[in-house]
Parts: sequence; C-alpha cells; structure tokens
Amino acid sequence: MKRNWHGAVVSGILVLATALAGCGPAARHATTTSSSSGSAKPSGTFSFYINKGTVWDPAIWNWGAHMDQIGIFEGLVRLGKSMAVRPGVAESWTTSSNGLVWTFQLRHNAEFSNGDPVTAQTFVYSMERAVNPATSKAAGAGTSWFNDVPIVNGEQIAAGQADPSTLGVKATGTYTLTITLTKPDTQLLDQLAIDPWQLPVDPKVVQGAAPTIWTNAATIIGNGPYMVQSVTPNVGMTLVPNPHYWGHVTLAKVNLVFTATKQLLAFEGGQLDAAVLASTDIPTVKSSTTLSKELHWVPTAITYTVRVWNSSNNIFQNQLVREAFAMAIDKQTISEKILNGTGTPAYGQIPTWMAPFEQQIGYQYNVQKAQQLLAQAGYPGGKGFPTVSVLDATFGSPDAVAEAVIQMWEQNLGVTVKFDGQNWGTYVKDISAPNPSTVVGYYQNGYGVPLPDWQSSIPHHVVGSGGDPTLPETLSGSDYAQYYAITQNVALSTADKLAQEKAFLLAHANPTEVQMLKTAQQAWATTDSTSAMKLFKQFETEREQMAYVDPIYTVQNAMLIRSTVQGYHPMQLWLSTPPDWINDITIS
Amino acid sequence: MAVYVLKRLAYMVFALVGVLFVTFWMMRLAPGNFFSITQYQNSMQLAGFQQMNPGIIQAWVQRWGLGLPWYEQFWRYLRDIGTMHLGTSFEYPETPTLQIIERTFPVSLLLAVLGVAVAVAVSIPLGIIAAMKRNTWVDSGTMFVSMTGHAIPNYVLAVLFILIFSLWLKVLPVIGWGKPKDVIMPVLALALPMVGSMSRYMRSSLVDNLRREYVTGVIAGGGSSREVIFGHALRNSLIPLVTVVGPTLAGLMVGTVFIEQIFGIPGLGSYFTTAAQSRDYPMIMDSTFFYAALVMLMNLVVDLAYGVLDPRTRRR
Repeated sequence: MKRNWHGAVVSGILVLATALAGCGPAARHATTTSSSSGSAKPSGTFSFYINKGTVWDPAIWNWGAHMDQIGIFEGLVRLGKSMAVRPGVAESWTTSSNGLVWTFQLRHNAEFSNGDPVTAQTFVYSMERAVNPATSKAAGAGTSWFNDVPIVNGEQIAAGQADPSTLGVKATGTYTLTITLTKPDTQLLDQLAIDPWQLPVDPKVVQGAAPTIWTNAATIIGNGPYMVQSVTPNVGMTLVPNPHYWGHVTLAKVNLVFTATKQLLAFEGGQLDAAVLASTDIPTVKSSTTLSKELHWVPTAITYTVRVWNSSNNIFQNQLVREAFAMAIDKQTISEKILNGTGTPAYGQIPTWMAPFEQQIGYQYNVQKAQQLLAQAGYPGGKGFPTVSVLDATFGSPDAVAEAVIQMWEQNLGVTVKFDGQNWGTYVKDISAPNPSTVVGYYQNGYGVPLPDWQSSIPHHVVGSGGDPTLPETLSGSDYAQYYAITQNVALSTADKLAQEKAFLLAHANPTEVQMLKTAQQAWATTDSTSAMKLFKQFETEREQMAYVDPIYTVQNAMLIRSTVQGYHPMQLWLSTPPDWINDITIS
Repeated sequence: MAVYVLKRLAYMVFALVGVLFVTFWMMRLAPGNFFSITQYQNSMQLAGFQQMNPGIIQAWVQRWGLGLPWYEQFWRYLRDIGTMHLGTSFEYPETPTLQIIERTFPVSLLLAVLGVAVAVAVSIPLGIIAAMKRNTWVDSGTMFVSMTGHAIPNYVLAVLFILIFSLWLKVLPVIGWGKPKDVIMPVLALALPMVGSMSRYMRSSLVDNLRREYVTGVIAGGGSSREVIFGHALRNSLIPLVTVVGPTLAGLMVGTVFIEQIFGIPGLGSYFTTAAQSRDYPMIMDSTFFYAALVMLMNLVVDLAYGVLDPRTRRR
C-alpha cells in the first residue's frame, strides 16, 4: 500500500465532497432517461489513466471488467454525476410492496456492437453465467460478485450448491426482467451500477467460446457506447464509438492509458487529458498559472490506516494503550504538510466527506492526554514499553506517512518505534501469521468504502462479507494462535472451517467488539431506515472508539483535467478515480 | 570449431537446468502467493473484490499442478521446456507465456540493440579522438562529457529528455509506442549512460595499442596517423569493447524496465518484474529460462567473435 496518496485542506474537501457526492439516496436513484441523447457526431479524443486490465470478461474480477462498466458495456443501470444511479438498458423499474421483487423495463433498441439485440433473456444468461463458478474456473480467476446482493439462490450458486438456472433473475417478457430478493435491499441499484457482474454479454458470441475471446479486441463484444478498437497489453487500449449504441455517443476516440508514472509530464505533453498527480507534483502545479486552473481535488473512499498487529504480548489489548497511540498522531499535519493536500484527516473508516459525523467520533490529536493515558497504562514517558514495529508493504525505507507516524509516536509518547518494510508477499503472510511476544505494534493497511452511502457500506463489509475483519485483532496472543491454527487447517472443509472460525471469534474476541457485530447485524436486518441508520451510527461510533484501527488520512486525488473537457464525473470509490461513465464526457 | 560450439551448447543445457532449479526453489521459498497478493492489493484500491470460492482455488491449483510434490512439478516444467509446451501465466491465464515473450521480447531487444548501437557509434569516435589527443583538453573534455553521461541514471535522463523534447520543444511524445519517433527518447536514455564506460574502454585500448611495437613499425615505415589507427590499431582496440558490448546487451535486455515503465513501452522487462513481485510462477520461470538461455548464447557469440577479431584465440 505504498502509494503517493497525500495531503489536503478540510474546508475545500467538504465543498467538493458536497458537489461530487450528491445529497443522498433519493437523489442518487434517478429514473429519468439518460442525457446521452442527441444527434451530434462523436467528436474529440479523450485520454486518461486507469489501472491495467488483463481480461475484459465482466464476469471475472479484473480491472478490465471495471473498464467494461464505464463505457464498453452498459448494464441495467449505471453511475452518473455524483455517483448517482442512472438508467442504462433499463428505462424504468418498480419494486413490489414488500421490497422483494424488482421489475425492470428494458429499452427495445439496445444492441451489441455486432448488431445482436439485448433482451431480458440476455441479462438472465449473463447473470447466471457470472454467478456460476464454472465460468471463473474455466478462466483461472476469481468471480466478480458481491456476497451480500441478496438475490434468491445467488449465494448458493456461487458456492456450487445450486444450479445457475435457479437464480432469482427471470425474463418475464422479451424486455421485462424481474429480480427476486431474499430480503429487501434499498441499495440494490447501487450494487448493480457499481459491480460489473450484471453487464450483459452476447450469448451468441460467448456460448462455447474459449476464454481467449476476452483478451482480443475484435471479440470483446459489448453493448456500451464504445467498442474496443485495440488493446496493447500492459500499455493501454483504444475505444471508438459503437455504431449500434441506442443513444448518442459523445467522443470519437478514447485512449485508456495503463502507465501510471509521470502523469504530470504526460498531461503537459498532451498524451493525457486527465491525470492523477503525485503529492510531489503539487507545488509545481500550483505555481503554474495554466495548470493550477485545471487542478481538481477529488476525495476518494480509500482511507490509509494502521491496525493493531497480533502478538502473543497482549500490550495492545489494553484500551488505554491503543487510545494513547491513536491520540498521538497529528493527522492534520500529515495531510497538509506531508501530503500537500492529497489526503484529508481521517477519523473513521468511512471518510468524513461521506459521513461528517466521523470527525466527532474519532480520536483527536491530543499529546497531553495521550501521555496521560500511557502513564495510566503503566508506561509513563514510554518507559518500559517494548519496541513498537510498524509493518508496511514498502521494501526499504518507510513511505512518508509511515515515517511521520513513527516520528510522532517516538516524540509524543517516548516509545521506540522501528519500521518493518517488506515486499508484498512477505507482508501478506506476516499480517496474519502469529507473532512472538517480542513483536508488538501496527501494520499499515487501507480500507475502501464499497458503496456511496456509508450506512450501506457497514453491513456490506461487516455482515455481508462474513464478519468484521477486526475481530481477530482483538484476540489475546494465545487465542490468536489457536484461531490461526483453524484458518490453516487443510483437513477441514471450507464450510466447517468458516463455522469454526466464526464460533471461535464469537467466544474469544473482545466482548465489546462481539456486541458491536450484533448491533451491525441488527441494523442489517432492520427494514426501517431510520432505526437502521441509528444502529449503524452506534456501531461505527463504538468501532472507532475501540481504536484497534487508527485511520490516518483519506486519499484525495489531485487531478488535472484539461479545461476543454466537460462531464468528467470521477468514480470516487476507486483509488485512480477514472470517469464513472465515459460517455458523459464531451470535448469543447 | 564445431566441436567447441557443441561442447559449449552441452554446458549450456546443464547450466540452464541449474538456473531453473535455483529459480524454482527461490520462488517457492518467497512468501505469499499470486492470488493472496493481487487480491489484497486490489481490495485496497476499489470497492469490488473477487470471490475465491474453494472450487475456483482447487481448479487453479489443479490447472498449474501446484498440489504435486516439488520434484514432480519441476520435472513437469523441464519436460514442458524440452517440448516447448509452456503454459499460461497466472496474471494472463488466457495467453501462453511463450506468446507473451514472443510479443514483448522484440520490443526490449529493439530498445537494447538500438541503445547499444547508438552507444557504440558514439563511443568509438569519442574514444579515438580522446586517444589521438590524449592528455590534452580535448581528451579531458571528451572524457568529462562521457563520464557525466555515465554518472546519470537512465531514468533521470529519460525525464530530462521528456522535459526538453516533449514539453519545451514539443517534438516527441511523452508516452506511447508504435511510431518511429517513440523510440528516440528511450534509446537515447539507454545509450548515453553506456557511452561513458564504452568510450573509456575504447580510449584505453587504443592508447595501449598505439604504444605497441607493430604501431612503431608502421610509423617507421612512413604510415600516416589515419593508416596507423584505421589500418592497424583500431581493429585490435575493438576487442575489449566487444567484451563489454556482449554482456551489456544481454544485461540491457532485462534492464530496460524503468525506461519501459516511464515511456509506456510494452517490453518484456516490465512483465518480468511484475511477475516477480506478484509471484506469477509460470511467468517467472519462463522468463528466467528465456533470459538465461539468451545470456548464455550472447556469451557464446562474444567468444566466437573474439575468434573472428583475434585469430590467436581460435588456436587456443
């Protein structure tokens, strides 16, 4: 997690956040027809950076699938300005009174780039294919599928326990699609718009074809406004208008560039029209009268955190110690001075631009109080406290933020802190392997909010995905070793292993954390939105107060967007903040 | 000569098996695996995540034979190499690694060959000038310029060239690949650091030869400076340069990764480094095999070139 994410000014963020994020669920689920209508010819070329893709099958988890969803394909719904849900192939939709059945009316003129029609049956085929584990087995990769989308039989099919044809997605007419849920889900549209598994694929092209069709420009057949003209692995791809798209296509050519380095130079040289800057670029950009006019601050949903690292020494199981360490970090200075505005102080795992109340519930910088707490815990001035390690996926010297945190802990608490930079493979292994009593400390990590509304993100992460990932960190040393042994037991079936892990955590984890999990589950099961919101807020407050995870800053991308570009609405849930719908972009 | 070449090729086979065995074990000893690393990295970059149910992992393990005992895995690998039936990488499960190498290696090769060619083309005249005007300001000046180039890393030069040619003069693109002009900056950035050492070799070697008795003989016989250098000393002076050029070229073919990343060039170097970081075993093994074979062949070619340039080495 060593990235050039860096620093920011809070007031600016809040203004931008308001502008970018929209005003709430009601405003985010527009049911009007997309604005992509009109008869003007596609014009202009738009080039932007996006993470490298290697396969463009919407059913397979890969950055290629995310490229699919922003313009190569079009699902029932899509994201638009302020990450609002906009109609896609579905022109309108209704929900049954009990919230379990969603009926989508599809437009009659949606076609793939080869002229084949997109019907309700196309969606049934595509969704069954995406959920079917055989698809990803054949491709040798993981599926793109949200665990907590409560579609009837979805979970069972994904686990290989039910036939794909039993999925709760049915064509009730040529252009009428119904999705049946096991429980009401007000976030269904968000989930459909954000994850690519719902995108339609052409059965005539896909059925019986080898997975290689998804890496070849000529055989990636989508129904979005753009089609693939060329793919150069590791370098980029070019899109051109799909002549069969039902609406107006705005751009004549789109270049997706996979090269992350030197984006400022590429922007200045005219090879990129939208670039994500490194924190070190900011002074240069601000000093340029031309570039500073094209600079935009985009708050993302990704937060840089440090988390308590398991150890057979239980020193960090002491609440006072954790609070002291949390209060000894000056997030404002890190954001402003070290990150040059490419980060904003984080007080919870949900960014403050999404949930402003986080600023009140998280720990504030207070050196005096931190020192008092550490003294109360039995370590006045840090005396007798073991050397603290900070594990980071940085091989060699610490990243600037980790370095600052280390320095603040040493200066403010009087403890000794050492940096433990590892390569990714070692880091991934070390964060879960049990540590001896000589190793105590934190590991650097990140958290991305999966949905635009914070109250939906909590159940998604905590309940839907199978449990709060913080629970193992609250285990005492000996308990953690036992828990780890269960996770590594190859003799257990997956179902048995998950059941044993869960039972062990509920029996041995910090009781407050276990109670919090129950609060989240209660909120997830509550259909009354006001009560649910109250419970979610309670959960989030308690979680931050426990201080097992110290959020440091939320990434705020400094983006250069050329002044001739209009309609670039950043996808704030992704670190690289690409446009959430390419066809909203026009070049003047 | 034929026996010598055959013997060297036989040694190569043993050396290759050794290289592959060491790589195989180093890879297994390195912690982490492809799925855990990529899944973890990606989960921190965006909202979605990939679901890995046990069936998928099982199919993956089966497909790449990862559940077999190590000796069986290694034997299978040697067998596949022997029959040139290499599989696919983890990151590109639909594309055979051989196809990736076929597509990307020519790019790295082109960069390396052009880089070395430019470096040689500049180094030889610089070395000759410095040797002819040795111990004068021309000698010092030439060597100063070339050593300055040597001291600056190629990725720093790359940025400098981007500033000059792309931003100020606006004649070359910052990133891109496919047009002849895309090659200019990467090749210059690769070539200039090499000029320092190569011109130094050239100068020292030429100075050394100019002091030899056969040169004194040519001069005594009325030979001009041009005749001395181009007719006699230059050819002998090229031998040390050839010694440097072969390994430099081979090293450069794996060492173009920074340049490839900065300019967005689809070469093999960037695939190789990404594979090593993400524990993409098939890609690491196949690239290592390819590079090891290449370096060994390059060394063989260099040794054979000695024979052409200096007939005495053929008799040894």
